[in-house]
Amino acid sequence: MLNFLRADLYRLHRSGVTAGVLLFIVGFCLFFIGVNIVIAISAGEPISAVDFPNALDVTAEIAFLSGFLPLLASYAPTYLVASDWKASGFKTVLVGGGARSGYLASKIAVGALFALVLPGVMLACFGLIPWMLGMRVESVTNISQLLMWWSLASLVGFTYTVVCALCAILSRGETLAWVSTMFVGLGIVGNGFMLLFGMVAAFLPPATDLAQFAIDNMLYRQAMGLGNGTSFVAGDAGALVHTALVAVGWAIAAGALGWIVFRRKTL
Amino acid sequence: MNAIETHALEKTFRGKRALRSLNLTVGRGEIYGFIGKNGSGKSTTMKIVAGLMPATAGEVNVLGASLAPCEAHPAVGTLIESPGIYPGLSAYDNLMVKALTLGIVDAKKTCQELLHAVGLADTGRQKAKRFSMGMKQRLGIALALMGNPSVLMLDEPLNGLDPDAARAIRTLIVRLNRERGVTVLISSHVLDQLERMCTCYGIIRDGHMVRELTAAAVEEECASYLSLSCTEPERALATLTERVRGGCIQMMPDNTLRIDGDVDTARVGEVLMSEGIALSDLHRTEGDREAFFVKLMGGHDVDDSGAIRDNAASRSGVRFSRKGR
Repeated sequence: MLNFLRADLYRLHRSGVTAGVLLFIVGFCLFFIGVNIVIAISAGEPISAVDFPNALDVTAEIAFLSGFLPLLASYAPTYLVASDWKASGFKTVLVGGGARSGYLASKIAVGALFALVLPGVMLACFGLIPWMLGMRVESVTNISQLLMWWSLASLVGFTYTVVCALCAILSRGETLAWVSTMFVGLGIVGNGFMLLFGMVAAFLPPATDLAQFAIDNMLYRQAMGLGNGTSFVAGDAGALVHTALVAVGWAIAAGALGWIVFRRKTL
Repeated sequence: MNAIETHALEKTFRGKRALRSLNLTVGRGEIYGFIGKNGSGKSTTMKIVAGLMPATAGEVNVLGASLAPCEAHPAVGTLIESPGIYPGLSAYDNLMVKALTLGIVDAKKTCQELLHAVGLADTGRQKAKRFSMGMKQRLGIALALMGNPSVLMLDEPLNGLDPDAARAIRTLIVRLNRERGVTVLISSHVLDQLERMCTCYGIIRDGHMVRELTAAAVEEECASYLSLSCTEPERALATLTERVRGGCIQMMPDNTLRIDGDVDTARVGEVLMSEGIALSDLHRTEGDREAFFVKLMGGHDVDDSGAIRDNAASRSGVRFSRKGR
């Protein structure tokens, strides 16, 4: 598995995926900070008046509900699997002793790594860039809340990566892999399912509890919670545990399904 | 111990049988030509042996080890259908990915050596998507050679290549076989290229192994021979056996005589005429390997007049050969 991981990271590095994803995050943070600065200046306020911890919450909402953090994290394993479908790369990496379990585990590990690093990069950008520009950062005092948000964001992002790796494996082709990734990442599927469950509850009242249970345990629902930023982790501890359990459950289910599908799949 | 063995290998795709109890035996150190028409099951067999596809039934043994479905043997390198190349990466990076996957210790040096071996050392940072077909095939072979495999499976490695590139790849394959002792299982439709390197052949038709034979056996079956018809075949047989050396003479069921070996046609005529035996026909039949293989594959053959003869003709006993005097 470690050999696969090394090879995957090398591929991501040499193909420019890693650099592209990181640049996107840094660029997004710069854009967001820049917008805040422009607003502050146009309102006649000093730059130091801009409250970046609150800005972080807004950014988290954008990052999670627009799906870009999970999407970017999912980009890496999806790219790897989809390009293997496209270029018959399985012949290159699996023939000669590479085990399929190692291949799949490596994609999951890559997803975990990206899911962990990307929110961290975002947090670092929101901490460092305002500080470097001489803005007000002293209110970013509750480090434990930030770390908690980072942990949960990584966990939920990681689960998205496992789901998207599964979609890429199932798709047998590049296009569908990307489409499924974008749908999962952008939350369109999530919104669609929530609407569907809502309709079930509306038309079939006895199923209301069941529909609510389904909605509560959707991955997208957890992403919505994380979209509230640090104020989410400051809330009910039970909700945080629930978020973590749902993410872990989905990751295990998607990973297991991926293995069942992939272990005997014709490549 | 054979390099590759399959026993009663079966593969069914949605009710269609692609392989029918296929038994394949590739000995160590051989260059085995795997021949068959399009869709006969060559690539399917190779994919199953490489672990890229599960068999419906049957057994696969590689270097004495029985492989589980979709299990790849570490000593097998492959180039199946098309090279599995990442187009956005350079040749060196493609090799590095494979080297890292296999956990090769001195990956950089190995990649450089392989690039040199296949003649791609000077491609630099050029991305593989800009490569010509020949360069891609050579990179595919380099990928297959990563990790010093004992067995190399090459599926149509000569397709789409110009004569020069085909020759370069053929030379490379022979060199690998002779210098490194690599067993090669190669499929191709370019029969004359196969003839120049293969030591063994397996002919597959409709997913079934029709015949496996050595290059010497093919040589024997396709050897040129003299055929003669005369008024007294038994006396001619006795005379020629006594007076003509260097040939193997036998009477055929239709009372014609067949003389195998390097025998002068004029000398045979002179001997028979001196004995007063009247010849009604004397000609040399040249062996035609292409026709021989085409017949075994169950395909069509084109005779000298350009007419197409189908397999039914071959089954009825028509010999596919080019006659010449």
